[in-house]
Amino acid sequence: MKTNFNNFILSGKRGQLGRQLMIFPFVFLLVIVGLSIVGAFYFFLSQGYDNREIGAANLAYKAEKCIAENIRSDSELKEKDNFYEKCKINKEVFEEYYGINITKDGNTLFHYGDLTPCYLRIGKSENYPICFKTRFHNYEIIVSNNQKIEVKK
Amino acid sequence: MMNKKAAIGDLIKDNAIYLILLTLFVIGMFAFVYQKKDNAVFWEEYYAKEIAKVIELSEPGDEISLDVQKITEIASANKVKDLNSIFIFGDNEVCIKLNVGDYRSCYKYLNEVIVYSPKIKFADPINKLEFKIKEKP
Repeated sequence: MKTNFNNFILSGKRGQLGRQLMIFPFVFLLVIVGLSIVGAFYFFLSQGYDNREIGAANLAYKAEKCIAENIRSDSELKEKDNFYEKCKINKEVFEEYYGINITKDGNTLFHYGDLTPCYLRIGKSENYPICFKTRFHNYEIIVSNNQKIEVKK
Repeated sequence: MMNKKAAIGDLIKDNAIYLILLTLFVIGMFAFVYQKKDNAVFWEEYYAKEIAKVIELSEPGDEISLDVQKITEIASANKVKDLNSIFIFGDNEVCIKLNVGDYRSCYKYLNEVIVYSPKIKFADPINKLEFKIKEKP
């Protein structure tokens, strides 16, 4: 006759079965504790660093500076590819991740990309670009940025 | 006395499976926490994005010096031997690699510039990354 605690309560074949079944609540408890630790790590530590708004603000600043220093007339800005050449902006990177709308007195001078999310009240989301809006003189510049980190091999 | 010893032996024998499971669980959790303690993936992303933003705001002819003490410490902890290999500057792209494997985190910058002669200046009094900005030919 075994004298441990489990045997004291559960004896005979039914008791043995009951004792063997006790492993399930134990494993369940371990799984819950393990998932809580892993979940807490992912919740608090694996949130990325989102600087898309800073990127959009940088581009808006560059466009503003470029219009002030390098663009002589509004028609220059309307000409295709002039924006990239005069403002020294890499076309491939810009067209892959950014969108822009430059208007003067309500008339569009240069537009690229889908800026719809900028006009909707969408909170910060990974799935939508982040927008930045600025005004100087009669110009209004809206920039969207959706560049994320790329993991390469 | 003999009965007591036998009882303890029986107790251990009956609960052996629980002890083994608990030990495996503790080892697994410890390994997980130890692996994540540096949060290297976050720091790769952080430095790639920040360096790209610095380059975006720079002009050709600028010489840039950045504090990289934290990232060099993480790389050393991850057994990266050549600390100069942490920073990889490609075509309109900054990549950071904080592991001995092949994976790296990359972020692109908008300027039509190239980064040249990047090097880490060690213990000056902290580790600094220095590089120059040149216009694309």
